[in-house]
Amino acid sequence: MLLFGISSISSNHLPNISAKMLQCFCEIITTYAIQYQRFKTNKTITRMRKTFLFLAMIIGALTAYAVDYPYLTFETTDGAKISVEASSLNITISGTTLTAGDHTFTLVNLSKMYFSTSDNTTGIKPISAQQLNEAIEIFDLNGHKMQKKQLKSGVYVIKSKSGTHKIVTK
Amino acid sequence: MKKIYTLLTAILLTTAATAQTLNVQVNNVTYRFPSAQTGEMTYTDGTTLTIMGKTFKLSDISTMTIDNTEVTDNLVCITYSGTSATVTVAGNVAQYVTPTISGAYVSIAQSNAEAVDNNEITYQLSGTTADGQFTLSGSYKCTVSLAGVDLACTTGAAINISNSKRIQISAKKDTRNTLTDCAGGSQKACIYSKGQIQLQGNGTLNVAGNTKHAIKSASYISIKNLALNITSAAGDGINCEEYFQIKSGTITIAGVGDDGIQCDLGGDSSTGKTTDHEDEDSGNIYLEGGIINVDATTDAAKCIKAEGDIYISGASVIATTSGGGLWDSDKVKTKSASCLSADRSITISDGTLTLTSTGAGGKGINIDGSFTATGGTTTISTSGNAVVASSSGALSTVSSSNQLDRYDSDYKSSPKGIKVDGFITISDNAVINVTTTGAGGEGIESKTYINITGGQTTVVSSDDAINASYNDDTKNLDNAGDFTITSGYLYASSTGNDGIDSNGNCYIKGGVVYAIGASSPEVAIDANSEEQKRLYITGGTIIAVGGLENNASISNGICKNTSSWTASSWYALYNDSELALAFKTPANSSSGGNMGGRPNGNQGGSNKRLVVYTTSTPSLLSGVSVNGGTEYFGGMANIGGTINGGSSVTLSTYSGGNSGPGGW
Repeated sequence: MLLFGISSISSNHLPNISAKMLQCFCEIITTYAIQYQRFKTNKTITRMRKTFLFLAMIIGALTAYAVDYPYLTFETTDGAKISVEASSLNITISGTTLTAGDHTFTLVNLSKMYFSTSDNTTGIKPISAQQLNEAIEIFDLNGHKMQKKQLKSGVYVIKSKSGTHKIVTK
Repeated sequence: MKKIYTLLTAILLTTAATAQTLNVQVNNVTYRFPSAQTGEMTYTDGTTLTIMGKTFKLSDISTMTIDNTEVTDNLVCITYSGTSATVTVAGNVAQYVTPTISGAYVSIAQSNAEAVDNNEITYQLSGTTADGQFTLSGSYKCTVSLAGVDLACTTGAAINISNSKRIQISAKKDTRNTLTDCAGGSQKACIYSKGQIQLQGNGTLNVAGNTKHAIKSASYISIKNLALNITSAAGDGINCEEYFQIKSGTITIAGVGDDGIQCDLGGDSSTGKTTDHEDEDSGNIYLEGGIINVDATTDAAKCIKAEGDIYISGASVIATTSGGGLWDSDKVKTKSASCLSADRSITISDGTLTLTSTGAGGKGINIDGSFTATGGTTTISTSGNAVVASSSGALSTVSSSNQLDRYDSDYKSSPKGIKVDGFITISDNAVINVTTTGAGGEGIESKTYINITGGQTTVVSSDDAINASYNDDTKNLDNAGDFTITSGYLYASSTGNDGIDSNGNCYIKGGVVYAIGASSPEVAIDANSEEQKRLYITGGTIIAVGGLENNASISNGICKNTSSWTASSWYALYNDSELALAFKTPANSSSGGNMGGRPNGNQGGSNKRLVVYTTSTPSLLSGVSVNGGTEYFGGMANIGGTINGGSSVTLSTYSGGNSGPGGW
């Protein structure tokens, strides 16, 4: 059970390669445990102990170093969140604005920023043409179902395979 | 299985080598915040951003970037490059470190009052500048790591630390670091710290102090592992207060304008040596290990000088002085150079000391307090003549010991091997070898008393080889000026005066004593019979070439003598039928010229009796050969060897003689 827990936690919270390593060690220990039950040899016990110690060392090392967060999320004073891809991100401040990647913020509107593992963007965001083509249903803000060709300038909600989005057409 | 472990470990290390970092750039300072540590970063009123406790003015931020730079917690890196410097600060200490940069002048204000994440802050210096500086203020201990830095300052100290806490200055392994300050400045040293300095690291540190000292601390300095080269100093090489300690490493000091290593009291009174040096303020110097090479060339300079005690328990010390005397008009006194100098006492329990003084009046060891040797090997050589001062303080040198008598003690300084105002004790495994050649060059002198209970002491000198004397402060002591030997090995040979001279009583109770004096009126073993003092022989094995002080008291054995012996010849001395030792006679025989006498002084008459004493009945064989055994006294004696050949020597019994000066 312990090994299963470690394995599942690692796959969710550690970089893929590290998770795979932990899973590999968990499998090795499980194999030894089965061997021990079958043969109960001292040699097996010794190997298990060594592997446990090595696993403990790796867990310590893995938990000690930084996790790469895919996003840097900015929060504004009205509670809205914009997540920007963090990899090689460049942030500049000029006058009263802050620019992070493709996004520009007014400094007085910013309340905080933090690294995040997922895209926490709230409010209106752009979608790609493919996402629009994949749209299953489109509604206006009054709940009326719309056709793509009927879309005029305004705000709509679309449901697609990738989720539900609020869009603005111009 | 092993291959799997190795492969997975390699992958892990590779994986762990990268880390996501938010870099905040403020001019030439980069603050690096690991993404795993940042948490929420707060904007306030559109004017500030606070990350891990560090608040930035948004208007000060040049840029922020995210990359995979590895960040080491608690580390601040200062990199010098010509006329500029850059600083990087680990995120976890950013709120405690405020750097100010002007060209290559870097000033750090450190504000933490306790450890950060269970550790102190480390400032790592690297790069090269011909005009830069590192200054640090703060109130908590820290480390300055020298990682290949070549730093010269044209306006002051290269490193100036006003932090009064403990500072570790560490030369990173395999790096070479050079620090130079300016001349004519007001700084106290090239490296100055108000707080304690621990110098360490397996790298090399070169320091030049062009205004005053090379390294100065207003507290203690301790050294471990480091290869430290003081290449020059206008003042001392190393100057500190409270105490100085070396545990290991190599110190080389040359080109200094004053002392090599000087340690003074910090306060008004001494705590003495404390347990683990806790709160110690003693002015003591502890040489516990490592190698120390000091060359002091200035007049009256000291290689190693303590306002307190000096304890030598394991170091290898090579100290050389070549400077002459100096007139101290404030104290109205002649000063001289010496290899070791202590205002209190010196204790040698282990280690190897090679002390050489070549200038006028230059001494090997000069102590205001006492001298105790229980171990170690100490070899001292002085070769200068005495220096004297006129009433106006004008200095000159004298080449004849006779001329020294006309000068008051404050107006002369003689090139003695070991000069001690307090008592001298030599015991256990101490090995002491002293050679002096100049006028007034006594080998070992005490102004209180000398007590030998062991060890091996070999002295060849131009003046008294051993002199137990007294001064105005000690003359009323019961044992003032006494010399006592109860065990051990003593060779005392003087070319111009007495072998052993006691200004009090002389007690030979045991041990092996081989004393050689110059011609009459000098003797091999002298006591102050002029003041009703006596030579008391109650044990041991004695060979005295040049006779004994008159009216000697002889007991528990028999004393015999011959007035005919051959120079540079091996003799065997027996105690009854048991071989006591074999010894080699001096270069001047009883039938030849005198023993040398005082240069240009009284050559004296014939007084070259060879006197022997053993605890039973002594007998001598002359012209023997010796095989095996153990050599003593620089090859002048052999104990435990096999004797071959030889002729019996006719000896007369010594009866004590008449009282009065001189004798046999």
